[in-house]
This record gives sequence, C-alpha cells and structure tokens, in this order.
Amino acid sequence: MAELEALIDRIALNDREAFAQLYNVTNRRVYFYILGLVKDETVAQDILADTFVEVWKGASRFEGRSKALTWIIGIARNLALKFFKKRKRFENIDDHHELRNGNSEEFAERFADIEDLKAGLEKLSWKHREILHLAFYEGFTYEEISKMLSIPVNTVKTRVFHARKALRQLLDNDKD
Amino acid sequence: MGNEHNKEKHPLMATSSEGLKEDNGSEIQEQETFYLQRAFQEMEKEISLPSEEIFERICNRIVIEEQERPVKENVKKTQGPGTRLFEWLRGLFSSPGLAWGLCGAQAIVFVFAFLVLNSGKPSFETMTYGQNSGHNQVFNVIFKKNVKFGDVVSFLQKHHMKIINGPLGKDLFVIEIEKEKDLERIKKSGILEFMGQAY
Repeated sequence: MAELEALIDRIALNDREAFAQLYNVTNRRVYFYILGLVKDETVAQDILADTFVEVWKGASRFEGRSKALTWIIGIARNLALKFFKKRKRFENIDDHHELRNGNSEEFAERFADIEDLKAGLEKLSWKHREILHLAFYEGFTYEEISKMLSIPVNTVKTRVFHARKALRQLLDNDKD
Repeated sequence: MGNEHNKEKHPLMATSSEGLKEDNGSEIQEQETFYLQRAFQEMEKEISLPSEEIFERICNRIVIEEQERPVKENVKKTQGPGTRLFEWLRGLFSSPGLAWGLCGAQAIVFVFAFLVLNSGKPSFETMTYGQNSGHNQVFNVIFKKNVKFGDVVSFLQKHHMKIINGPLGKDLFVIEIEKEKDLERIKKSGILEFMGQAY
C-alpha cells in the first residue's frame, strides 16, 4: 500500500507517469465503489474522471494521515454526494424498506450462495452497501470509515450492524 | 465455500477485514464476512472497466488546467505596480465583507449627522429670528398645544410681539414684547401655556 502513497508524492511533483500508474492500479476499485453508490455507468465514469482530476490537483495536499486509497475513495464519495444533492436522491437510512423486524439470528448459510448474496447487495440501500463495502471489502478500520464519512465510530458500528441485518432480511425474503 | 477463495483476493484488499476484528469475533460473522468479501470481489470482476477514453479525458482536463495556471501566473508577473494596485483595490472593493463594512460606516455617518443637525438648533426659524431690538422685554413662552397657527399669528400681531428665537426644547419660543404692554392681559389671553421672563 505504501506504493500508492509514494505515487501520490510523485504526482505532487507533476509526475505524469506516476499518475498513470496510480490510475491503472486503482481506477477499477474506485469505479466499482462509485458504481455501487450511483448505479449508473455513465455517471460513475464522470465521477471517476472528476475524482482523478481532483487527485492530480490535490496530490500536494495529501499529507499521508490516511491511506492513499482511503483518500481517493473519500474524494470519490464527496463527488458522488454532490451528484446525489443535485439529483435530490438522498435516501433516509432509518425509513428504508429493507429494515423490518424479523429473525435476526446469525445464519452464515444464507450468505453461502454467492449469487443470492450479490443480488442482495445490489438491492441494499447505497448507505448499507457502502458501509459493507468499506468495512469488509476495502478492509478499512471503523476509525478510518468514521473519518471518511464524517460520522462517529459508534454510528459506523451501528450502520454495519443494520446493513448486515438488512442483507440477511433480504436473503430471507428471497428464499421465502 | 472454502478458504481457497482467499487466494483470489484483490491485491489491494486487506488480508483480513480490520472492521471485522473490531466487530465481534464470532465464527459465524467471520464466515459471513468471508462470503461478503467473495461477493464483492466477484461483483468487481463482473463490471466492465471504465473505457480508455476516461483516462484521456482526465489527462486532457489536467492539460487544460495546467495551461490556464501559467497564463494566470504570467499575467500577474507582467503587470506593472499600477495595475497590481488597481487589481488589489478591485479585489478589495469587490469583497462582500468590505461592502457590508462600508454600509455600516455610512449608517453611522448618517445617524451621527442626524443627531448633530438636530441638537439644539430649531428645525425652522421665523422671519424675525434674532431681531432683538434690545429695548423691549424678552419672555420665554410656550403656546398651548391646541392653539391654531392663525390664532398665534393674530395674537402676536395684536400685541406687537415678535418671535426672536425658537422653537427650542419643549416648543419654547422667545418673544419680544413692548415695555408698555400689559403682561397680565397677555398671560390671560388663553393662548399661552407658560410665560416667564427671559434673562
């Protein structure tokens, strides 16, 4: 991971080759994250382009307090939220239809069918999908996610709990 | 599903989720996490990569921004001191903070001017203002509130009096009265609320 930080340091010195390398290594990852939020390829590509322009412009401001990928995804997230604001497509996590009272027992078997699980993840609200993505796929710590999303660590934990619960619920519903 | 999937993890992906470590370490949750990672991994593989054109677009935008930046810097460098001063003043006066500051300063000046102009000096003067002959008696008078202008004029003419100052505070007028006039009669005319010797 330190290579990414080194690339950003070089980008801060206007090194285009480093920029191309960074793009090659991370674009798929960042694009996947954005696409998970906006669910639209054209919009996701626009946001991806904006993100990397911001990375180029802001490389000299990157102080290495967070991981490079956390920083890039943070930029992508801010741009995606701007898009949401423009489209007024904010969802309220509290009244999302996926959350219902039901059996909250842990059944890992429900997750075992990858196809169902993928379908379930696609159906999750963007906030729930995002938190699972950041915590379990990117492997960011709760502290890192807390900084990235500007929410308290406890809220991150609660959101992860609700996201898992919603996902289990969706998988249950699909099986019924 | 087995642990062989771990081998297929994305090179950027952490070997184990730190989020999980901070959650709870139950075996079931670990399994769930594993499947989640697996699902995300597959989903990422399934998406079509952003086109080459995107990177070109990014590079073009960067080039344009870079071209604009030196132009701005060069313009600053080639400007003479007069132009720079003008630019500085233009920037200064176009700032909202200064605009509001000037508004406040103007308001203070208006209020101050209003107070100064209204302090002690009458808001209007009679034609006889300041025409004190020095031979007659001078009195401070206050006319009754309900007295009409015409009555005041008739009263002054009848007794050959003239206003030499006023209105001052509390609508006080200074009038000059001929020495031989009957002051008691004037006092009881019903027009005056107050009448007293001025010194």
